Amino acid sequence: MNMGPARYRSGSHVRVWQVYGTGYLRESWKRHPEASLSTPRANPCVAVFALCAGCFAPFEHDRHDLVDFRIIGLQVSNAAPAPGESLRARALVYGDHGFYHDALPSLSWQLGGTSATGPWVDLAAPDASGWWDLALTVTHADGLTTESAVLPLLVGADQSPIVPPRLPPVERGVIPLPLDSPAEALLLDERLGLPVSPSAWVDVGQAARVRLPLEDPGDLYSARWMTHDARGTFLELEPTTADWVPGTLVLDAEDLEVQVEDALEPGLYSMAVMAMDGQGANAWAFLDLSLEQPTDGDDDHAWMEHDGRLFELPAPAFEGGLYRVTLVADDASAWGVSLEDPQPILVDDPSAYDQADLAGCEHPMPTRAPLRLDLLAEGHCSRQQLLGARVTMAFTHPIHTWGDAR
Amino acid sequence: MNPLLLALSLGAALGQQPLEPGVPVTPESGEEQPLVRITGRIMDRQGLPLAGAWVTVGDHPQHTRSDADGTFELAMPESAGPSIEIHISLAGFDERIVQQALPPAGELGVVMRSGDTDGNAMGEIVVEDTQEAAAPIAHALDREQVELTPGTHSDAVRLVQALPGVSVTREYAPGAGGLAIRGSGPDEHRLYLDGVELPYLFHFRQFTSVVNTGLLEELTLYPSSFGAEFGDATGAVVDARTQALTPDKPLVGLDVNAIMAGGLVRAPLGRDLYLSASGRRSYMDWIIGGGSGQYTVWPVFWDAYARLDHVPDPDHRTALTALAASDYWERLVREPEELDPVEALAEPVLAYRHQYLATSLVRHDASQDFRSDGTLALVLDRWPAELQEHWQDRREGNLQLHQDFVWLLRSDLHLAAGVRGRAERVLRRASVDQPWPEVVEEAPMLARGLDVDEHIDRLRAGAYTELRAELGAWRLLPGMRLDHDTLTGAWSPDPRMGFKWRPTPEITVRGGLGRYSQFPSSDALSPTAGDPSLPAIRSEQVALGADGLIKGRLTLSGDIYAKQLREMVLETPGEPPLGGVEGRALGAELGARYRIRGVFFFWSTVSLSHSQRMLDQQWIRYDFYQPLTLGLVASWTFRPNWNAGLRYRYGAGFPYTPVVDGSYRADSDSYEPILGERNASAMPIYQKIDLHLEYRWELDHWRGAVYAEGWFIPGRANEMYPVYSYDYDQETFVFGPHFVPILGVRGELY
Repeated sequence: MNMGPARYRSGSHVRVWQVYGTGYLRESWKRHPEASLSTPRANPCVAVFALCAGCFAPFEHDRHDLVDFRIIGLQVSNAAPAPGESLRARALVYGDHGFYHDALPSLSWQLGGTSATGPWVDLAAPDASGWWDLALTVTHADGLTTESAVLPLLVGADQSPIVPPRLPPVERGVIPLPLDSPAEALLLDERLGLPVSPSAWVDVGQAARVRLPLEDPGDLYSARWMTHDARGTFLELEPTTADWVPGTLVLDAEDLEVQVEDALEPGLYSMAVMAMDGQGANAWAFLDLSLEQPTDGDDDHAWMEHDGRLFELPAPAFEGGLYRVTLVADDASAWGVSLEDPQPILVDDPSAYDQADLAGCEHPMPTRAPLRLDLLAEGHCSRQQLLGARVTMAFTHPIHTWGDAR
Repeated sequence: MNPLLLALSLGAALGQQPLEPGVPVTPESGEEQPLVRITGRIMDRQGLPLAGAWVTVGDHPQHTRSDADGTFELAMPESAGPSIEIHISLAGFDERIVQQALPPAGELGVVMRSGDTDGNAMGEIVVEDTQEAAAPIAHALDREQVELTPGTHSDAVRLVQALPGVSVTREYAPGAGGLAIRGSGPDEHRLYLDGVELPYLFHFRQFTSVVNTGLLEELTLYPSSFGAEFGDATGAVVDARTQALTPDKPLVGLDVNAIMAGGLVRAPLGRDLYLSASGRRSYMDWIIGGGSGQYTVWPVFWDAYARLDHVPDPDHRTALTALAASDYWERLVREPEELDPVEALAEPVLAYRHQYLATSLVRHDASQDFRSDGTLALVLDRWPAELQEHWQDRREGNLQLHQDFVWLLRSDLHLAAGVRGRAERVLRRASVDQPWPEVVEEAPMLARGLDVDEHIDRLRAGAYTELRAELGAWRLLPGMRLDHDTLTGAWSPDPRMGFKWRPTPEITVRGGLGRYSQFPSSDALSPTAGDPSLPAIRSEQVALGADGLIKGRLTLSGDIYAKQLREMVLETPGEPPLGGVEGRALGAELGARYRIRGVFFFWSTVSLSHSQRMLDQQWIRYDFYQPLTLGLVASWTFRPNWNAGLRYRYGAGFPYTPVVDGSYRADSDSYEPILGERNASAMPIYQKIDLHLEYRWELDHWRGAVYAEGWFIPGRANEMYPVYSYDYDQETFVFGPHFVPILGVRGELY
C-alpha cells in the first residue's frame, strides 16, 4: 500500500516553496501552452478530473527553513577511506534558536564496531571493504529530543578519497527582482537574464543573489541554501547559486499572481549553505545578508565579515585583521552573540592568542587560533560557556561581493 | 409457498388454465384424447436446477412451470403431432425452443443461458428466490445488476467491490483497485475472465479496470471456502464470463465519459459466425498535451477486446477472444515540490509501461446429460521501465488451460471434473547500480537496486472432481482437488465439502469447508531477488450461511466464516519476500436483498471482520483489516426509459504504519522515514454515496443512453493517504474532493 509521499496543489494560495514547482509548471506551460496549470499529479486518477484536484494543506516549512533543533549536515575527512584509515567526523546542528546551543546536545557516533561521542571525533574505518554507515545520534540537552543521521562510507582500497572541499567566501550581489514580481519573472530563464550588481546590501525593489564560487570543473557540487528562522525565500538558480527574496512569496496558482507575506524589515538576515557532491563530501559556510544599507554610526566604524557573518566594528587602520572582542548574549542574532568592546590588534601582538577564556568550553577548543563561531554550531561550546569571554576573532574587509573571487 | 402452487395461481391470475399431467383434455369437440407425458428438467450452465421457468408448447394452451428441483411435467395429446415445439422462458435467461418428439424417448434436459433482461415486460413478477447461486458460498451478479449498479462506472472490479464481504477501499487512493475479501489481500485471490487469469486488472493499479462491464454476461464472487473447481488461491475467486454475442444485424456503438472514450462494433458474419470488438482509451493526455508538473508524459491507458463466436446452437459455442491492455507514463522520479528549480531540470525521468495480450479459445458444449466448458489461452505480458541508464524488463508468456466437465448421471446426481494447467516462462532482467525506492510500485526491480538476468520456467497443474448430489432437501458437494507446482515441487491435495439444505422452501442453510493451497509467485521464488525455498501457502477455511425468504420477495441472509493461513509470503515491493507468515481471519456478514427483475433491485450488507498476521512473534492487524463495513445498493427503473440508482458504502479506515520520525541522509541531503509500530494507525472512516440517473431511448436503428452520476464523500472520508513533511516531522493527508460529477453518453447504431 506504499505509494510514497505525494503532493498536490490546490488552486488557492500555497506557501512559497510551491513557487519552485509552480515555476517549473509554468515553465512547462510555456513549452506546452495547453498544459494544465492547476494541479500537478501525484495521482493521475485524481488529476484527470478537472475538479478533482487532490490537495493537502502545505507544510509550514521546507528544507530551506531552519526553525527547530535539526542536524544540518555531516562531514567526514574522507568518505571513501581505506580499511582501517583514521577518520575525523563532525556535524552541524541547528539549535533551538539559531546556530548555537545554550546547553550542548550530545553527539554519539558509530562506525562499524566503534563508537565515540563529541562534536569532533576520530574513528577508524572498518577493516572490511564495502559500504558502512557512519551513524550519528544527536540528543538535545533536554534528553528527550533526538535526531539521527547517516552518512554511507565506501570503504575499500585502491580508490580515490572523497574529501570535503574548502569553501571560498560566499559572494553577494543584488538583482532587480521586486517582491511583487509576476510569477513569470520567477522562472529560471527569466532570472538568469537579470543583471547582477555587486553589493552587500539589498535595497527595496531588489533581491539578493548569492554564489558559492567553488572550483568545480567536474560539476560535482550543488548547494543547499538555508535561512535562519525561515526568513526570506531562496530560489535556486544554478547548482551553487541562488536568489534570495526578502519576504514569503505566496502564489495564487489560478491567477499566477505572486503575493508577498511577511515582507522583511530592514536588518541583517542570517543563512547557511552546504555544498554537497552526493557522495559525502560535504562542507558548510555561513553568511549574513543585509536588507537595506545599515547606517554607519560614524566614519570610524565599518562593517566587517567573520566567516560570512557581518559585524560592525571600529574601522581598522588596515584591511581586515584580528580583533579582541567580548562575547555577550544576543537572542536576536542567529549566532547567539554580539561583540562588545572590539579592539583591533596586530597579528604579532602576544595577546592575539590569549584564548584562555575558551578553556571553560565543554569540549576542547583551539586556544592558539582565532575563535571561529562555527564551533558554537558544531557543539564544541555552549553559548553559556562563552558569555563574557574575551577572545580573538578574525575579520575581513570589505565584505565579499559578487565577482570578488574571480 | 410452494413455487409450483404459486405458478399455478399466477397462471390462474393471468387467465390461463394450467394442465395437470394425467388429466385428459377435453377439446372443444367434447371428446377425450389420450395424453402423452413429457417430463424434463431445466438447469443452469452449471447443471443446477432452475425453478419457476415457464414451459409452454407451440400454439397449444398448455403450460406449466418448473418445480424447485427444476423438473416439469406436461401432458400433450398424442395427436399434437410427431413433434412439438417446447418453449422455455425464464427471466434473466435466453429463451429456449426445443423440438420434442412424441412420444418422448426420455426425460428432456434443457440448459438455460443468462441473457439480456431488456426484453422483460414491465411489471412481470418473478419469484426471485428461485434463482439460486450455483455454489453454497457465492454471490452472483447477472447482466441487469452488472449494468445498473451505481458508482461502478462500467468497471468490473468496482462491481465486485460492491458485493458483501469485500472491503471498502478509498476511491483513487493507493490500493483502490485491490480486492480485500474476508481477510485476504489482493495477492491471495484469483480473478478469471472466461477462465483466463490476467496479468493485471486495474489500469495504473487503482484507476479503472481493463474489463468493461459491457462485456460481461455474469460475474460470480466466491469469497471463501469455494468448491474444488478452483485452486491455487487462499483468498477469493472472481469468475467473470463474457457474453457470447449473437447480433442479428450489425451494430456500432460509442461510449464517452469523463475518463475515457470507446467504441464497439458487433456484426453477424453469416454461417453462425459473429464478430464483436471494442476498445477504450483515456483522452486526458490529448487535452493536457505532453506533460505537466510531475508527469513529463501524461498517463495514457487503453484496452481492447475482440471476439469471434461460432454459435450453431445454444448448446455448442466456440469463441476466439483477444484482450489487450496498456498503461504508460513518464514522470519525474521525485515530485516537483521536493525539488528546487535547478534540481527539477536535472531530475531523472522514469518511463513506465505495462501491457499485455491475452488470446483464448473458448469452447462450450452441452447435451442432455453432459456439459463441457474449456478455455485454452496464451497470455503475453511485458513490463519494462527505464530510468536514465538503468532499466528493467519483465516478460512473461504463459499458456493456460481451463477445462470443466459435468456429467448428469441422474437428475439428482452430477459429477463434475476438470483440469487446470499453466505453463509459463518469466524473463526478469534489470541493470541498475543503486536502489530507487521512489519507483517501487512501477519498477520493483529498479527499487531493489539489484542486477537481474534470469528466466524462470514453471508448470502448475491441477485436477479436481466434485460430486453434486441432491438428497431430498439436501445438496451435497464433496470434492477433491490436487495441484502441483514444478518450481516449489509441492503437491497439494485439497479436500473440499459444500452443502445446501432447504428444510423449507423459504429457508436455505449452506456451508463450505476445506483445505486450500496457493503457490508463491514466480518473482517471490526468483533465485536472484527472491527465495526459491518458499513452500506452498496452506489454508483451512470454513463458512456457514443461511438465507430466509420473506413474503416471497425479501431475502435475509447471514454468513459466518473463519480461516487460518500458514506459510504465507509477505511480498513488500523493493524488499526480499518474507515467508513463513501466519494469518487468521474470521467474520460475519448480514444481508438483505429484494428484487423485481427489470424494475427494481436492492441489496444491503453489514460485515464484521477480524484479520491478523503474525509478524515478529506477535499478531498484528492485517493491512486490510476492516472491522466494520456497510453497503447498500438500490436501482429502480421507475419509467420505461429512466433508471435511478443509489449506492452507499461505509468502511472503517485501513490500518497503516505511521512514520514517527525521519533520519537524515548526509550524502543525498534527504530524509528517510523511521516507521512506527506496524499498522498502528488507521485511516479515517470512509463513506461514499453514489447517485445515478440514466435515460435511455431507442429509435429507428439506433439507441442511446445518457447518464449522470454524483459521488459524495463526506467529512474526512475524502482523505486518501498520509503525506509527510520533508523531515517526516509532520503528517497530513492528501484529500480528494467531496463531490465528483460524472457525465457519460452511449450510443449504438444497428
